[in-house]
Amino acid sequence: MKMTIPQRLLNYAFYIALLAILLVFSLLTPNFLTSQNFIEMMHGFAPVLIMISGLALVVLTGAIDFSVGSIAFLVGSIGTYLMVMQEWPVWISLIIMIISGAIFGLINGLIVEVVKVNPLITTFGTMLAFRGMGYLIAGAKYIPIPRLLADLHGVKIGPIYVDILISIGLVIFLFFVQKRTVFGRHLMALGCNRENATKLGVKSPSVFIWAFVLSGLFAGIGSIFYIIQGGYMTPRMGQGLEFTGIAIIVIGGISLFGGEGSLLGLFLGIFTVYVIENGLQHLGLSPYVYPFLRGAIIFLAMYADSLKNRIRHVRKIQTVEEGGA
Amino acid sequence: MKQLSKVIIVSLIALMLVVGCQPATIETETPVVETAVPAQTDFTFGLSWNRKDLQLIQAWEDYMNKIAKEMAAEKGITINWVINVADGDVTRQASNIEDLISQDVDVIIARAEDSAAICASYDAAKEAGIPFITFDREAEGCTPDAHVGADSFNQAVSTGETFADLLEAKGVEGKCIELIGDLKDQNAVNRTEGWAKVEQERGAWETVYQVPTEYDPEKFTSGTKNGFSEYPDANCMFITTDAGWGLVQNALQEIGKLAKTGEEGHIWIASQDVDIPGYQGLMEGYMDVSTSYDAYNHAQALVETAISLVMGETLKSTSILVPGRVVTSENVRETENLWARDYGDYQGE
Repeated sequence: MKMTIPQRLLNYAFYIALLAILLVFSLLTPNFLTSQNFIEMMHGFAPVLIMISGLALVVLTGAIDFSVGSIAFLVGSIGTYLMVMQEWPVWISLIIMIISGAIFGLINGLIVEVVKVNPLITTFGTMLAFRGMGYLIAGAKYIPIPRLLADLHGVKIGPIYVDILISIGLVIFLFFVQKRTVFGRHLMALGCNRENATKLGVKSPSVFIWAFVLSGLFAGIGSIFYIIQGGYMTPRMGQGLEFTGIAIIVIGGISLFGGEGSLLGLFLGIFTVYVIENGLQHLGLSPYVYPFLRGAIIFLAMYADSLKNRIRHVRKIQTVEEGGA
Repeated sequence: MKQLSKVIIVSLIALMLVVGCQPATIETETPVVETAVPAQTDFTFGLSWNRKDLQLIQAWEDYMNKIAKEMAAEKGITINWVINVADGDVTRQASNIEDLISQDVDVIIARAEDSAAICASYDAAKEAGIPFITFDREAEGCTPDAHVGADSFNQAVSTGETFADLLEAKGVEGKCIELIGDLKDQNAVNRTEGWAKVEQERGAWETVYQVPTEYDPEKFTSGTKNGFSEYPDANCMFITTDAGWGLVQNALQEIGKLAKTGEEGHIWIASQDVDIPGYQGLMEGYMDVSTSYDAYNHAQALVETAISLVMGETLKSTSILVPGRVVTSENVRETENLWARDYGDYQGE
């Protein structure tokens, strides 16, 4: 069945809305649509993109991980404690940071799969516990990281910051894991229907545990880039990331019910969220206007997306009816 | 008749004496409480933190404990603390304060997550007959028994005045980028208003660009970069809190605008708090002016107020605002009792 032109337009309504937003910002402010601005924006969101890419794997299984921000904070606290307070070599501290991220993810996975506690409740609890542990370790301070590491914040290859390239590389790597590996296929199968997937031989506990391990691991890696960018371990690091991250994942087309979406959608999600903030900053509006405009633009984009889904649904019904007739 | 006149005159004199001896009406919001010798000597202070994510909060708590011990010993009383933390959750803070009420503490001290929502907790405490003090963040829409905090408006004014003197002395016409805090936080609002007041009165600079950071580290960075991208000729910044200095410093470095005072291309920086990164910025000569957020003095004023309330004493004022001290890159080494020096790990000179 052929789609009409309005249907086609509505099918791409989200992208059209995003383009319209870009166009409006570009017309209203001369410094928005420049390569430099977009590079700086991507540099700003690179650590967040890394942190939430592991979370996206958990969401694909139909579960949730609220603790990513707290894991990132705890890993950062451990790292700065070792590097600054204990004066351990930077490279050893970095390795420990990465490993500890994976271990905290493993703890989540074990609680969910072995103790059989709901992922939402588990990670809500560990979100608080991990943050508390971070405060105990680093004392809720602004801790300057060693100069050797801090000086890496502006390292570029050509005009592009290295952290942008690494974040893109890691997301593409996870995309291949999702699409081209047995683990990725099992992940999607569990997200679609756990019972059926298990009947078909998917070892669901190990897949879930690995998804949480990867979520923790990537939160830990993102944490390293975060502290390098800021030059400090900050007590507010990762706060609210669980909600921003989930918003980015959903905007990127990954279903919260699992089994649907692609890791590459994260680029669209994070770009949408940050471009709005960036555009508003360039407009230099009254600070009191920001929350309203931010909300209105996100609503507009999501509404456009829901129109697309509605059309898909109607077309599916029409196809079934035509098939029946 | 003569007898009657005498009685009337004596009565009038007596009446005048009685009226004349009445205390003058005190125009204060403080409820008048009779001073009495306390029958009770063992007091429990309930402290509700909205969050405990900053070293400053730990410094406050440590100082409160220390000062309370000293004052309790002086007055021959005992002070116990019940402390809870809401982790930035408005609802949880309300429930934590309910817990303090049900534990029948003698006074409740709260650092509000939400300046308006805290009024519901104040109402509940009032109903239970427990005095209520807001700390650091003033309530909006109600007047608790006392508020103890920094004079955040005055902080911005004192920073602004010193900054204006500095720019005038150097013959600089300021074009400033302002990084505002969280607009839900009354201190952040007071600071931007204080800064605007001095700008209007002195005319030493023009704020050309404002960004609400919501205290989000990423927005300190992006706000700085986007501000200078829109206004490349800007030459000064007002940062709502110098806790964010490290992020601003890195952002300035990445766009090639980081220079110390006296160096070519220096961006003049004004801020508040003398937090750990701000202390470092002042010591290194990148930041120019900041007004301290004196944790020790805040804690002292708070404990004094709480003791007065539980002992039934009358407060001189219900709003106790502790002023900060102006710290510059010139005087930072000589300024005493900076909590950032006590609690920070500054590794410089």
